Amino acid sequence: MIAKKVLLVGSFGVGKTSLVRRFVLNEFSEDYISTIGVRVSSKVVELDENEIKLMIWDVAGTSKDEKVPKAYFLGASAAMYVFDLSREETYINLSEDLEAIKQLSGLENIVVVGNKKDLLSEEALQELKSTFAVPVNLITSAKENANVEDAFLLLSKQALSK
Amino acid sequence: MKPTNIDNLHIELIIDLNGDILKVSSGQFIKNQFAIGDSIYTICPFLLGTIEGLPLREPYLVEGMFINANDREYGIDLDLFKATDNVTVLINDRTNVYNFVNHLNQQRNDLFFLKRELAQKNKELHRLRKAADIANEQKSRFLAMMSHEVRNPLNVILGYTELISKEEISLKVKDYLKNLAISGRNLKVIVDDILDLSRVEAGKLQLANDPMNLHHIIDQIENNYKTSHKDTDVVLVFEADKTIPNSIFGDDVRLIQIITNLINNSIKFNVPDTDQADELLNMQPLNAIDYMLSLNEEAVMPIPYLELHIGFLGRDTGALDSILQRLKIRIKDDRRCVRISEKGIKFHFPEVDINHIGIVSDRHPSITPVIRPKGLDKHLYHRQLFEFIHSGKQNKQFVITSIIAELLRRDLSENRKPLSRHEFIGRNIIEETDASYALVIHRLNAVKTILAESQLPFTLRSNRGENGQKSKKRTSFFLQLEEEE
Ligand SMILES: Nc1nc2c(ncn2[C@@H]2O[C@H](COP(=O)(O)OP(=O)(O)OP(=O)(O)O)[C@@H](O)[C@H]2O)c(=O)[nH]1
Ligand SMILES: [Mg+2]
Repeated sequence: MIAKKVLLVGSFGVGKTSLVRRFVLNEFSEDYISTIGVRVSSKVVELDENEIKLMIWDVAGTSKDEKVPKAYFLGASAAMYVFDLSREETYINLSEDLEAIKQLSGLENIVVVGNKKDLLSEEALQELKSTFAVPVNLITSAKENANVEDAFLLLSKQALSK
Repeated sequence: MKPTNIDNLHIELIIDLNGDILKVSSGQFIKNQFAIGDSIYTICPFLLGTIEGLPLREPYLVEGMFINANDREYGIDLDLFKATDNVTVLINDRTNVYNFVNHLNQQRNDLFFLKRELAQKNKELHRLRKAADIANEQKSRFLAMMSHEVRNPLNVILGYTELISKEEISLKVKDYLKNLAISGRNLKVIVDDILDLSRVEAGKLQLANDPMNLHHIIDQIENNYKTSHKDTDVVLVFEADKTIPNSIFGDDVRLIQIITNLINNSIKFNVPDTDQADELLNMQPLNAIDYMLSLNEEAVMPIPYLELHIGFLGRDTGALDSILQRLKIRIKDDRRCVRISEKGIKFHFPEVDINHIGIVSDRHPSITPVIRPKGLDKHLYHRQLFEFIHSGKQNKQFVITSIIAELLRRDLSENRKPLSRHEFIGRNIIEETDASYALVIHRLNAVKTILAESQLPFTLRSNRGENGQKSKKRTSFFLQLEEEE
């Protein structure tokens, strides 16, 4: 079985841990327990008849001007950038942040995910989507289990192609 | 505390490129977990992939990782160094540091979200306030309009009615006009009431504080009722006690309004059965009206106020209650006994003369002023009073106003026996700053005695001179209120 290391990064509180929990354990909690350092979990996914063991690095959220330590990206095959659709400050610098992560990780493509879609109305969401400077791959909700699987599948695909 | 051995906080391992442990070079940190030949990935699964990605001969620090061993979780940092055929892994125990960081981080985030929530609530509040302001403005405009566009024509109608009635007209028309005038006046009262209520609600009702004559007021009210309740079988008897002082300070318009309201209610809820009526009559002063004297905090010399609180046998008195809450009548000079009677309502301003505190109600039938006997030294008197309170011989409870408490404390300590607050306020004493609040306590807790103090000129029978003349000298005395056993 191939093991692939993937990372989840983004501002604090956007729902990285929640996405991982939903994906790995199919659980969700309203409680917010901020991640310190890195929490690594793994799950085997099947992709094009390949079994891949995903090593998911759930990295502590960053706040303004804070960077993910470079060492975390060692050996990483793919990364997901998560932002919170209900918090503008988590996506206001989306293109710069993505550029910085690409630089740091040496990865060419980052999966971009807007989470907490359940907090927005359909109209608000459509309006918001048109304002993003960078293509957003998936709009998810860890709470309502929307597009979570798809987001990680896309991540696995990118990991495999590298 | 045991000194921490530095060796227990780290371990250095050499592993091959497959992750198998070749050697433990130094340190003791969870050493039992690392046996030669074991895979490092068992304990550090996250190194899978990381080791492969490690560049040659470049030291790398990986911070903030967590491992589980010996049934607990450790926070660790790792120093990694890759050589051609092996990797050096130095694991440092940072559990305490990460626990601390965790704590701080959680607080930071909680604060962040709290702040956000607050900002949102503020926004909402702002919006609501705006809406309320607009509604209020509309209300004010409406009321101003009421005032002009309803009151004025009403006054015109009343004016012309009066003018016509002075003309030479038949008795029949005169009678019609009388009815017209009465109805017109009633309507005016209703309009005024509505306006008053809205002013009270807006906190804009200003109460006058002018001299007024209660005798005149009673006369006026009596006059008002000469014709109005003819069709009921209620007989109104108006009596003003001769001892009512002439100069009372207050708001005569409001007072008339209140008394009128009370009388109207009495008529409306009049019980035909005489036994019941008598019962009601006897009951009302107790339930309906409580008087309270409270002090004006700003005045250097406390000025007594009379505040009326009315709950009219649980009936809805609407605007009246609001007005009453704000009504203050100041009694000047000879504050003795005021009694205004009419069938169904009694007003008592019983015979007390106090300023800091007092309760005037049928529930407190015995009021005993304790006056310092002439010639007795003040300090000595306070000492005696103090000892009386503390004697424990009586099973009384006291509410004591702060002023008295302070006086006693001061006087007693001047007497070279300083008293701590703790020492002073015993189990049977409750100290209260606000005299009127002391009254409330008195009532709620059925405290037996209130001690209050007065320094105003006062008149009491026992304080009169030999020839019965009022003495106006300033004296300090204590008022003791006792509940009847
Ligand atoms: N409504 C809603 N809330 C979500 C969703 N995902 C996460 N949350 C909530 O958002 C808060 C933060 O979620 P986490 O998953 O801990 O966020 P994180 O990105 O891991 O945060 P850090 O570890 O501090 O970086 C929690 O209270 C979650 O319950 C979602 O899809 N919808
Ligand atoms: Mg997290």
